[in-house]
Amino acid sequence: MSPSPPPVAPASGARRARGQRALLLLCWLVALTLAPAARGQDDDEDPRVELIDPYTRFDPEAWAAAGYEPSRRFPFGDDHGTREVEELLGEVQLLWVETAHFRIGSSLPAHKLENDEKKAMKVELGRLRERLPKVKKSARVLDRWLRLHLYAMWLEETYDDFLGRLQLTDADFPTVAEVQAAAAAAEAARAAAAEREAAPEDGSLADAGSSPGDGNSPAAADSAPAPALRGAGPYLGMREKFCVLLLEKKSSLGRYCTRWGMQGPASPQRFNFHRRGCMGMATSWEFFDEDWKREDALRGSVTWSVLQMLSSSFKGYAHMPPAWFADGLSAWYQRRVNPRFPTFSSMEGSGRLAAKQWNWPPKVRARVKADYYPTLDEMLGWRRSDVHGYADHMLAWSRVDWLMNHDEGAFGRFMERLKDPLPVEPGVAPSEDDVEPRAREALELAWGMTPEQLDAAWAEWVLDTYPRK
Amino acid sequence: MLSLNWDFAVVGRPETQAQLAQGRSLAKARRVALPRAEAFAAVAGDDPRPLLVMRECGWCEGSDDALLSSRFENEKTILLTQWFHTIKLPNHVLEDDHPLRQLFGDEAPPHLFMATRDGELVVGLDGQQSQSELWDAMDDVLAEVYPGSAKKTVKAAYKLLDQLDRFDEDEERLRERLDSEVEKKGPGSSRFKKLKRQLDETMMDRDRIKDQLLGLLSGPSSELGD
Repeated sequence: MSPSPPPVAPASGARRARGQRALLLLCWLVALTLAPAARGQDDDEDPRVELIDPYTRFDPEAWAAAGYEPSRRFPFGDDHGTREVEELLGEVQLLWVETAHFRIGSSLPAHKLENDEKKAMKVELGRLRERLPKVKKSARVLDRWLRLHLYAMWLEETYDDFLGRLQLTDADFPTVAEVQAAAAAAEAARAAAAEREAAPEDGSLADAGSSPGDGNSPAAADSAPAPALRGAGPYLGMREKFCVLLLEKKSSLGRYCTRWGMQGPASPQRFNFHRRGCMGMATSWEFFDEDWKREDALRGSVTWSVLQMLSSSFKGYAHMPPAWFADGLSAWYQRRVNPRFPTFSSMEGSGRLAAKQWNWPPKVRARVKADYYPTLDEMLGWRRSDVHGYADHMLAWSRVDWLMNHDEGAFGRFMERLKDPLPVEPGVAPSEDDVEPRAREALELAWGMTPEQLDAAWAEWVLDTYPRK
Repeated sequence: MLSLNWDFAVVGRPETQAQLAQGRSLAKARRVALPRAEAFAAVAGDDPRPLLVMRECGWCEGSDDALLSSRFENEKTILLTQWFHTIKLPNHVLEDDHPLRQLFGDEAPPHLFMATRDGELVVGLDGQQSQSELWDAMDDVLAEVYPGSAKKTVKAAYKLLDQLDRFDEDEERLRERLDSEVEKKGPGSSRFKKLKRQLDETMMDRDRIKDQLLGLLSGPSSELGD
């Protein structure tokens, strides 16, 4: 969509050629003046007018081919939708798309790629071009819509990858109707049980032809497990799609958080929109400065947060995975984007030092060689409120690196057992103390090893596979 | 250690939960500018400190440029802001029907202002001011509001901040060396033990200074009876 340079005038008469060149130059300048609005990069236009997507021009077919739902207006958090967010942020222009599993809003500005970003981005843009043919692979500047399209693609790919590693598909999660039907059936069973309890104890209501265990008796029906539903809805077990808000300004994030009673804006935020039944995250481009003002740094950080959401949401958000596993898994996904820009949930000591020391495999290897690392048993005892040094984060990543590289089906088995409902009193949220024994059990069930055996296998593998430098 | 902690004061409007529960967006409700006293009360909230209100503009686009200098150290400014309830408002606060419109005068609305909570004393600035003009304006409001000498406390806090910076640098240097040592010779080497001892001492000293500083910084609210 960017304007072409003026064509060269034919060489028939210098004066006429000069005149034609002047005319063409004028046309080109006019085109330059007008083009940004169509390209979606003009900061001076009225921000409340929706910026047209230059890659689909909102053509329904092109929009659907890109993988988007038709409407650009949708509910977002617990008690707000796209319009309320726009109204709150006033002059901040937001672009919205809804994919199969995400609702995404963006006010990210255009970003000029750094030289060392271009090669990798060309590959990404080439992949995006498969669904949006107007995308140019060699774009040096990612305009606002282009960035949103990229994030939509990356988020869906991350979701698919996570689902694939669980060895599940969307069809393995219940629809909201199925959840409602199961709840109604459970309620009916409870009512029937209450009725039986109230009845005389002479067995007069019992079916003479049935016996315990044959599946026909009321007692058998009562004790039979309800159909195994993975959570409360089709999005990994959540009722609604995951929400992602990518904002240019920290002040926009601050206003969003303040308006809807959440924390902010010192760092990227994650939300549990429990009334709507979904999770969300929001971040700001202003968190990234100097050497970190890069697309892969933001993408890595978003990936980290999204993995926290996905791993917590699997089979419903009743309890979160243990801290070492959630952080290690998020780091594992993030490092596949670019290992140079790590994210940490909390950090003891200098964050600057941690950011400098991003080449983790040789460091983990050196620690294993020196026999200087927390055991898995110790890590299972970590709590979210514990603050760790960067080496602990690095070692948590390495543990997950081993787990993800051994026995393809084990990750799914681990997550399935880990996120099964915990036996706590109704209405009580499980604590990390409740999760710890479940995590131990799930690890042993999935990989068939005790924490001590896993320690030994991991240490051997690290020494064999991680480089010395 | 110190940062600008903006409050992004948002004045909401009544919402129809039923509409939202059905997944529908709300029709735009009419906004109304609050009377001046109510607008001040709305942004002041429960915070007993005087106000420092900054309005974003198209030029600084949400940055802190109107308050912070791009040429000089901003540590003193940021330190002084700890004695204020710092509020950042969007540019569209100047729209006639914005609930907080009346915080700003009708003619030449200031880019930022310091004020008592009730708006009785307002010192406005245009965002182009020098650092000393800004500090004078902040001092004027502090002198009006704080019974003790805020100036003296700020000076003491400034000294502690200097010390804290030095400890932070030492900590980073020691951690880097410790990290390198453990990877070379493991945790059993005498050098590792020495570095670890130095790091522990540095962190103890740093924590002591940090506690002193936090004590001083909690002063602003406690002096006003928070």
